[in-house]
Amino acid sequence: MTRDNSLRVVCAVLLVACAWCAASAADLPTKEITSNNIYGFAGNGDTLWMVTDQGLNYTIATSDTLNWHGYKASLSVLALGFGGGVAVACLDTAPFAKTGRIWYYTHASHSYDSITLPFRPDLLSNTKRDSSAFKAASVVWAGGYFWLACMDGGLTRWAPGDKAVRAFFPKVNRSIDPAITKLDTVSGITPFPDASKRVIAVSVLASGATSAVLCVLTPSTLYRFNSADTSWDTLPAKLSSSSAVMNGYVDVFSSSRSLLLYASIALKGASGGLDTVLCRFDTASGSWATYSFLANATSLTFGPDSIVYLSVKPNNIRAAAGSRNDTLVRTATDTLICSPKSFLNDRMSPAMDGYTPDNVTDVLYLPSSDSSGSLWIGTASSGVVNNGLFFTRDERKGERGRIPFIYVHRERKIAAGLKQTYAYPGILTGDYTQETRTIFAYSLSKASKVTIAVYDWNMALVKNIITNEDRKAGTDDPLGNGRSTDRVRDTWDGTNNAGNRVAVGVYYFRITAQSGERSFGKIIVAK
Amino acid sequence: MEKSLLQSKTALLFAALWSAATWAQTGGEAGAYLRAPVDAQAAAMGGAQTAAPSYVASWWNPAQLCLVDKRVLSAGTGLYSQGQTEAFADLEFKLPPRVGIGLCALYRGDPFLNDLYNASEEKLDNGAYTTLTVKAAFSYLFTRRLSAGLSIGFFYQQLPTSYVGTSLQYSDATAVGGFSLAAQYKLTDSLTIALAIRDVSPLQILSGAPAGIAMNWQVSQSLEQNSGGASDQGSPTSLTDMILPAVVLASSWRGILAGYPLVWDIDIDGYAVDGTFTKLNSMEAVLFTGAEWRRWQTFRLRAGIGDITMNRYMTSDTHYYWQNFAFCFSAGFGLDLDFLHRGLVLNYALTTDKVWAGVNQKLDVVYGF
Repeated sequence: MTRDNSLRVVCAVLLVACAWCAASAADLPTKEITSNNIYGFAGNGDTLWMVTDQGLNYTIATSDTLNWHGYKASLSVLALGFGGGVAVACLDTAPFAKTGRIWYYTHASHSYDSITLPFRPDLLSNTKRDSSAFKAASVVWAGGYFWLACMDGGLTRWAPGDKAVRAFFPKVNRSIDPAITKLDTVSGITPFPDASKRVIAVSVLASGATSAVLCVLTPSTLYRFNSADTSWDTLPAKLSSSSAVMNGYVDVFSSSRSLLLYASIALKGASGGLDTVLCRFDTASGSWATYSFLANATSLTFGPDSIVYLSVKPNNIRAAAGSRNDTLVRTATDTLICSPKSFLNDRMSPAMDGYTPDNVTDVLYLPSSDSSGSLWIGTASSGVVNNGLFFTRDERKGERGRIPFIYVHRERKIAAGLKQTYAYPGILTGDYTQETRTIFAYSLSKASKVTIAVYDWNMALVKNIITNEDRKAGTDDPLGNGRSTDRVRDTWDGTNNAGNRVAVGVYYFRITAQSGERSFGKIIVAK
Repeated sequence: MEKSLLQSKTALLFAALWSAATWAQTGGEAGAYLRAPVDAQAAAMGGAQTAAPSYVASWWNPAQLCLVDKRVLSAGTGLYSQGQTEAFADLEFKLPPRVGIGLCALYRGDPFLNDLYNASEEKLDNGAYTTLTVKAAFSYLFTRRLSAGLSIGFFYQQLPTSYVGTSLQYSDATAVGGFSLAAQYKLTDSLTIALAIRDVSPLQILSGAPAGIAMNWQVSQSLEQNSGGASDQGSPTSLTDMILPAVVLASSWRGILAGYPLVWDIDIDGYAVDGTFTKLNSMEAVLFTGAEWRRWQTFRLRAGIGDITMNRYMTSDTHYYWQNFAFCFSAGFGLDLDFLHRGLVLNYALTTDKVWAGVNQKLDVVYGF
């Protein structure tokens, strides 16, 4: 090798090394919300993370302007956690694999990476390998570690950079190294796998610098786990009310701040029907108090004082507060804070031009140092309308129920005067019975009556979307994106004027304003 | 005589208008790309060309094929106001004394799908919609006045039907065996009438299926995500579109205007059933009419009005009708290019579109030999 060639090789190696270093230390590449379909939150007082159907985002929740950082990817996120300056997204198993992955972002170094959970299904016999799953369904930060509810992998402790990943199993007072252990031979967890012993959720009861007390949930039992001595206590599965029978745990929510413990519990009522209702653990009596009016909670967050906010199926936000004896009540207090109707209609609707979201997915309260806190609500929909992020920066007690939410809806800024119009998505797909729509994006230079119509290849009229309806100027868009679009009215579901599905093909739309502006665009229908 | 012919023609027109007493719209039914006129002569005459077409009879009226007096080769192209494009080629000839044969191939599509966005408003890759239709036609002369014909078709469509990230995913659909049937009768030396049934598949009746032409699509769900993770779109959904059949009643009158030959054509396309041969809620008819004036020896002037939709809004909601069902106004010419080559004719047409976005243009060359 000549000297010149040697130099070239050295330079090339240096360049590759520099590029690798730059890539590994890169901040998240996207500077906007990855999607308006928001499925979950995590965070602490000043940092908010959220998972969308297209990736992950974080922002500094306390700053006056929300500057978004995002990672756009097809991540199937099962759980999201944040703590110690690190955000983790627990991913579903890859196809044909049994072991989940963890994507994580370290704020200090502005870098992200991913690892596969170090379980070894390959050490199991075929039948046990097929029936087991090692993925994190829930994650919390406590005692300097992330704790993951890893299904058949038990409660797993992990921290970025820490090679010693440990797994803990209910009633087993020692930890296991999952990278080398053949789990079906470990004393105390056989028979393996056991569906009733799967760890499906975890929450924090107390957190110290190096240890924590956690609530660890299996479908049949709720444990209290002390990481300091790896001891396990079983919490009584007893209801304070005798009118229903406990049928299994669904989820657990606890607050180290207010020392409250709630669980979604499947109850079999006197009529035999099965309901999932919220229950609060009463330490004094050692039993669960049931709140049947708080049913079907998909998430719960602890607000100021003893208030809890819940997102509940199919599309609602509930809020309830404890009375002096710390029992949830729904009467005057519930109404005072925000009844379900007022939450959607009074606080969310004004930001959406009078509409309400289709599907509330998650709610998170982030306490701040000045005894107030911000409340964040995520929504999602199968189409592209009525979704986005709602938040209020100050959910203080005296003002609850009166502060309208700020609405964040990811949109492109478009040029005024109908110079830039399009429909999104430009290809309508999906089962044609599905309520998917395309929305017309346009911006008027001044307020006017607008007509939108859709035509086929031969320019025969297919559908009158709107006819002479008032629309504001783009400059009056409250979200500042220059839109005149009514996000609910100015949409097309791929049907003709008779309500029938149109044929697969290219369709053309015309937007005309009485002010004289007009524009044309194209849509493909394949549904 | 001429006056009585004009009266009868006018009566025919009004009878058709009256028969469309109850109507529904057909926009969005399958096969929209098949419903525009093919050649420049037809386009210049408002789209009326079914009775006694000069060329591209394989498409318009296969019954005419046995009446062509020489072999005709034609080819042309078109550009529409919204970016749709087309091109065709056609060959037809006679096998004396009674048989005519024709073959027509037509491309239509939209190669300018350049402004599509995904649900996150990210711009998708540029795409194109492509169709290809081939019709092989046969005709038989029963008497000096009556002929009949049929064509069998091949239909192909391709377009983007989903996307992964910003990449378009294409699907296609193919159908073979669609028929058009036609009969043509020369009422007098100056008036010819024709009846055509377009885009049906009677062979399917034998298998118990609806007699429409089925375009079967396999369509996947769109995925927004663009990197990493699973990209399996799942099983594609099957969608079947049945091309809308039409019944066409047409006439062609050859007379004199200001001492020079005039051809006046009328087409009325009627739609009574959908592609599954299920009766539409009500019928819709579309009227096309145009004329060709042979004032000069080598130059023919053409004009017409087309796409006059006749539906219930004509009487029940006239304001809505005029807002939504615009006509097409057309003009064009035919120029004999005998000075270049004997039998060569150039045709050009300029038509308005129905949404006042611009004009459509067609240009073709016909060679008779």
